[in-house]
Amino acid sequence: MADGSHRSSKGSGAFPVHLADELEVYFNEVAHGRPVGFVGSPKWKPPTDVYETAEDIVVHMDVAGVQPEDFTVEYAEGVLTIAGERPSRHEGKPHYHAMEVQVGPFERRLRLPVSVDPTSLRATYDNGFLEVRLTKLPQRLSGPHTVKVT
Amino acid sequence: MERLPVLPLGQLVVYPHVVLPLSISDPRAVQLLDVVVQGDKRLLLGVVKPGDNRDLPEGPVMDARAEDLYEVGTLGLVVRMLKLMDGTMRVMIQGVDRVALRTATPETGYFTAEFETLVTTGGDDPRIEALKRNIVAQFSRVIDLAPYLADELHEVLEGITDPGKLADFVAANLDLALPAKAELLALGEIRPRLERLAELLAEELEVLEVGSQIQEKVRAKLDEHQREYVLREQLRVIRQELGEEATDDDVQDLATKLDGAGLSAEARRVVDREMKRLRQMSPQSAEYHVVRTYLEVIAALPWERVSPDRHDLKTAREVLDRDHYDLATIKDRILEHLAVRTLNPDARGSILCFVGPPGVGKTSLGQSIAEALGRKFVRVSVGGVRDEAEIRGHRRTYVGAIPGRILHALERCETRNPVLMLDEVDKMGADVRGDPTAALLEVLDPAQNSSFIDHYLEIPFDLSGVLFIATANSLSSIPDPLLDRMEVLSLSGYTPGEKLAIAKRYLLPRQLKETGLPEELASLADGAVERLIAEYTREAGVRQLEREIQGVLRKVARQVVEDGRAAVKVNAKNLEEFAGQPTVLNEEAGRAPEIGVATGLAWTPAGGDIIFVEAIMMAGRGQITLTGQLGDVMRESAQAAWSLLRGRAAALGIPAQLFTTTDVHLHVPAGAVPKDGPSAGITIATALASLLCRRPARHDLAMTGELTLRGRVLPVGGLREKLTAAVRAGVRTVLVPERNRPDLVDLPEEVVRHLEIRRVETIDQVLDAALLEPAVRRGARGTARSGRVAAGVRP
Repeated sequence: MADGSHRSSKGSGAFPVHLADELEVYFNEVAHGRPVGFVGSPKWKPPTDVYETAEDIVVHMDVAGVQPEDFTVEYAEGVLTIAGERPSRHEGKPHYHAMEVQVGPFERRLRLPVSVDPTSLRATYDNGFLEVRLTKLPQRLSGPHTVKVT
Repeated sequence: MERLPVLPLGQLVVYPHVVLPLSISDPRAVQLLDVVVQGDKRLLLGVVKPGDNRDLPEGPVMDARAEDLYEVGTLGLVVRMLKLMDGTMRVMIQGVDRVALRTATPETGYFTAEFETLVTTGGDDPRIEALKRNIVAQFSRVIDLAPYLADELHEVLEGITDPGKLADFVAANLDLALPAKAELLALGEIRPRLERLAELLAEELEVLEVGSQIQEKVRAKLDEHQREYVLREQLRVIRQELGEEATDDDVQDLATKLDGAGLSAEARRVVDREMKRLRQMSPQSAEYHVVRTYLEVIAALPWERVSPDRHDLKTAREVLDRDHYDLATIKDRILEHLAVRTLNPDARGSILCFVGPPGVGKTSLGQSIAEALGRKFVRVSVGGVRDEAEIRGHRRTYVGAIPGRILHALERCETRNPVLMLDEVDKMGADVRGDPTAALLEVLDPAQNSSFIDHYLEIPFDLSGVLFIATANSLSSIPDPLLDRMEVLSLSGYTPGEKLAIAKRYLLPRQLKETGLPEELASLADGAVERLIAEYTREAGVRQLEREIQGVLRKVARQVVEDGRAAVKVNAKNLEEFAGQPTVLNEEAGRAPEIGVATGLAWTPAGGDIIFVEAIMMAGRGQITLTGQLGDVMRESAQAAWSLLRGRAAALGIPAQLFTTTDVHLHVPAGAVPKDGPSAGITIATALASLLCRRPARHDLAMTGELTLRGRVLPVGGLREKLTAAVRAGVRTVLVPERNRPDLVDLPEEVVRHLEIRRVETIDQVLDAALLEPAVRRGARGTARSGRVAAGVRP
């Protein structure tokens, strides 16, 4: 999607604005006046890694400058929701030259790819990274299960 | 109520949830945004109404006043901002909510306004789901068709479930007019928003579909061209690999050839034009070959090339004498022509026409003339040509068109001053395709042929340097206008003496060479040649004679090879051994004077001949019957002769009752050969007079002459041929009209020696000379009867 000529002919181009990199590309190339993204909610979306270890599924969120108590971490029906608000760090009324750090309420809703034990949910905040862990449940045996009606 | 800065936007409507980058250069807008990012980064986005004559920029319009805006606007959030070195600013704004703008208050450079959020309502209407599906389907189609929408939008579209968001998403991406965009923004209730959107979508889709059809057609066409181009390039490369390429070189070669062809100014102009066309054409097109062939023909024509004339009269004379026996008049004419050319090199080409029987050497004379003049010789046979285009070519528009035979002949001989022989001009025909003789008129007119225009070439070509020689067997079938342009030179047949000389000097040496016999092995005595001439051939020329000699020599050759004979001598006595039995019987042999039979002289395209006129009497009522394929003129001259004799019956001693009690039958053998002309007039009269007076006519006397009713003898044509034929037939005396006296000078020596030529003026002189005395009649009766029997078996 870094092909400028392609974009100018195609106008609004590709969408998923949740990806910060994608936004970057458009922003630097001036797709002036053309919609470059569509977001379902006004809340911003911190960049997030989701990965599995042997036992756990780990969610790593790059979201610095938040008080740990300001996070809301919930797991329900296979969806992990992480929300919160990042306060603005500027003082008084500064004169901006660049403004890229997103502030205000954010929210990510992640549908986890594997079954987890809801009770194992735990979260830590360290050096600007939020780490959420859930213990995986053993994979159900494949094949249909039958049961005898008695 | 909350108050925020308003950024008025031209041409743009920012819908909720939509992220939009903006490039901002207006300092007032920059200032506004500076203020916004200092605060909670929210601002109001107004939509400037399209004015009557305002061409609004796409972006911030800081001059706009509050009244210029639609009431509806968007609450926006600045998510990114970057200032560039030139003082301009880039921002990324995200739409948050629809708002209604209220009381505006001016600030420095911009204004602020109060706003009220428009809540989306009516989401529980059951028809919404249907509308939503309709919009998804239609917009899907729009994404496929619209060149300005990326295919990735399909995925985003599928991910949106909320009908309100869907409407905003579609509206943001659709290329709508500003009022329609504003209208959609203003519709807070979901169902009307979706309905209106569905309408607009349908319109857009229609426009796109028409556009796409057009595009499809254009693309199909382009693809075709592209395909052709690619294939052509491949073909070119393949050819290059095969070593067949060099189209450009060919064209270059052609251009070089044309440059060296010495074109006339007019030709140069046409050639330049055609070369230009050729260079622009694809070598695969049919037209390319047409143009190229045309240019090649032009390049091959001798526009300037001439062979230098030989002005050496002595050499010329030698060449002519070497190749042809006698023909003094013709040779003189050629030498005169040469002399004139020597004195005036620019003299107009003359046109000679050789008329004579076959085999007298007309064609070979042309070759000798060319050699004598030092020019090239080219022969164009026009016998049997019935199409004008053969002479003057076809128009280039016809497929396979070629230039006419004249230009083709010049192309072949590569000089523009050859001796060009038009063979057999008397055998040209005319039909619906035009008259080739008419086309020849232009070719042969020295006043016109310096700018002869061939239909194919369509450029004048100078034929004035060409020496035209036409040949014909007879002048009668050459149209007068054509004949008028030519200088006619007659070649009459050869006498036996001349033939002997020709045989000895030319034919025999040539045939000896052909058969590969050395002279010491085979010899042909004069006596044998004379017998070949008299008893084996009957022609004016020497073609048959040459064949007979060839036949004899073949037999000799066989004997030499088979039997190993040392030398073979053929003479008059052993000729039959080599030539077989004589095929021609002398007409005169064994004849005696007869009653009712007179000998006439006839002219044929093959030379002269003798004819017999027979007449017999039978009981009847004075009728006369004429047979023997006689033409109208000949029948009339027979009637005239009959009337003349009736008128003079008394003077001639013919009993008057004979004309009422007898019928007369007049016949001219051979019956199968058509005969015509007035020159047998006196012969017919003689035969009838012989019959009616019972006086035999001399068998060794032949005659020719037209007869008038008053008994006068008028001149006739072809006398030379007729006299030659008389010699050949063994006639001793010939009666010719007095008024043919001019034709009697310069006769072949042999004719003068063998014939007694008597000039006659009246029928009385004819009868006196031809009829024997009545006294002989009684004694000759038996002879006459037997003579008639003899006449019956004569072939």
